[in-house]
Amino acid sequence: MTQAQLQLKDIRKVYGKGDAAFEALKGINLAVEKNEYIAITGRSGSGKSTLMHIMGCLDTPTSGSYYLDGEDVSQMSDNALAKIRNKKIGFVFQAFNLLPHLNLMEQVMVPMYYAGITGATARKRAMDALDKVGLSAKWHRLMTQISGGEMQRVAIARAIVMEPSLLLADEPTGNLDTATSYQILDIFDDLHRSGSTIVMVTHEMDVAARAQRIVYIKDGLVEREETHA
Amino acid sequence: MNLLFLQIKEAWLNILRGRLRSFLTVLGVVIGIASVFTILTLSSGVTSTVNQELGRLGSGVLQISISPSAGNISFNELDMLALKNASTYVKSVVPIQNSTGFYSVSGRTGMAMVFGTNEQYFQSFGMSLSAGQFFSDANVRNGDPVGLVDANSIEQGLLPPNILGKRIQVNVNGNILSVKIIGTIKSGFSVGGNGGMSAIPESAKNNIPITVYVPYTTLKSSGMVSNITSLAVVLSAQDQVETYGRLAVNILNNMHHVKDGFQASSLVSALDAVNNILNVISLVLAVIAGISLVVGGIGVMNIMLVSVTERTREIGIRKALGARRKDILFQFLIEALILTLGGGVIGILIGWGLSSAASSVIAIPMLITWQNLLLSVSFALLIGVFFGIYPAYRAGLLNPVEALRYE
Repeated sequence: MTQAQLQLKDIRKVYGKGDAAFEALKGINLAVEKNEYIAITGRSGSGKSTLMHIMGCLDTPTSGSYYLDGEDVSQMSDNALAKIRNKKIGFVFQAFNLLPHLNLMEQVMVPMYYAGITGATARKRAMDALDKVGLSAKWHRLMTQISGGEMQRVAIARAIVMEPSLLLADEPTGNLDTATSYQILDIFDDLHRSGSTIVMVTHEMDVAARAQRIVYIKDGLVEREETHA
Repeated sequence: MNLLFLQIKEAWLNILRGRLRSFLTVLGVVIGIASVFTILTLSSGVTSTVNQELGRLGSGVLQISISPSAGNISFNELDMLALKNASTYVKSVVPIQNSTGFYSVSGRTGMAMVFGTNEQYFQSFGMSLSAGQFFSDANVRNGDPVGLVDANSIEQGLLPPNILGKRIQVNVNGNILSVKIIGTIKSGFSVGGNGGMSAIPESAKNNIPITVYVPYTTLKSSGMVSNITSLAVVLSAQDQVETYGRLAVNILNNMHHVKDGFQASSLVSALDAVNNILNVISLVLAVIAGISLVVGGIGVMNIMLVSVTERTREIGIRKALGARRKDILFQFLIEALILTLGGGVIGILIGWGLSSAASSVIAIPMLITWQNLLLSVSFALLIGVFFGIYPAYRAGLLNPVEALRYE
């Protein structure tokens, strides 16, 4: 059996020390196959955000191992993790998290600059990514000149421009109205069809239902999983 | 476009967004750099003036005079011959004797300094003719009543334009001498340049003395001075001035059978003293400028720390997108550098204005040099690096999860 694209083995995360210690994750085991689309859900305080941070290489587990594309990233240095985030993970946040001052194309080019990809190559890839979210015609607009839904689409373009192994979305529709939310979820469906591996953290069940598999987290453990057709 | 270019663009836009805050932040740097640039420019001007004078007067000039305590002795021709032959470095030995009184010519009168020397003086001190001729060794031997004046004095209207060939009466303590003017000397002798001197108001003219250069023998025979009490020795090598000075004093003491009857002083040491004073003044001003630069730098550091806190979330986003510690560090360092560099440029412009005003007030030339411009810019950048590195380093160290959570 080949190894899954994401393989989490007995992931534990403890905050604080001694009596004040709090165990947010108590031994998570989870595998995500290539081109799988899963949703992680649970109440607030369940540990799903901590799990997302670890899966996104923003944080490291206290113990356990995390294999991303067959490489153990659980105990890597700051700079090594920065490189993993840059090349292998694309983030989509609830609050869009775009940068001030930059136009749409520049927003999308930022991860490429950190990777050392510049000039015409970077511009072409940025335009291709904007094209996938239907915003290539507005590439020169500033953040003040586009709508919330468009902002999230720019964030998606920025997340996919490096062709990451994992597209990690944290409550991507949390700040959007229903109609716009569906547009965003349609984009995720398109990306999934064209081969992306997507992990979406959400507490909205109708949003989670768009995924192939739903993973329920409770008190720092995987409570159950549900697979859709 | 690459990462550096993008970082510079973003930093610039950040600075522009908070124009007032940015300006207030760099005010200390502006003041500091303005002071540094003014000091550098003025001291360059003074140094170059002093050095020019040194070069023109001959840096190897030694003045030998009779000690105030020595009693009734004076120089004679034998002394001058002995001094001339004492070293192969000696180019010339010339007597220098001043006397102050009044002059009158063609109905104009005023104060006059009668300057007695020999024919070698003019060449030894690099003086050149504007018209006519210098007096000759024969004039000196015979004590002829001939002399020269500064062309400058004519330009200033102290002397008539057609002075050449005229006789000028000088009166020193009741001794009257009628001197025939045979030449005029080119301007350029007074410290500070003569450009501004032609604009002397009428009322002040009576107080400015003209100089009449005559053979020292003439000065002596007119009774204006009784003895020659000062000699200038021109040496071909500046580093021989001290050694020669001691030798000359020994020779003269022996010839006149006295102890400590003579003293030697050089223009080098006089100008060195002037330079030392200027250096001390520059140093004091530089310390003041340095303090304002440090205060300005602390202001920059303070605002950069605030800026890092305000933009914690942005730092988190960048880290999520793959920015390494050094990428974040450079982002903030570049911003600090643009701030201080901008402050430096404004400071230089203000300093330029200040030096131009100061140099016209104290009558020294304004000398803007590349070195001073470069030095001021380097100072500004140094302040940026020194005070910007810590906030930038702190920004780079931020934990991405906490930074993203920051509201």
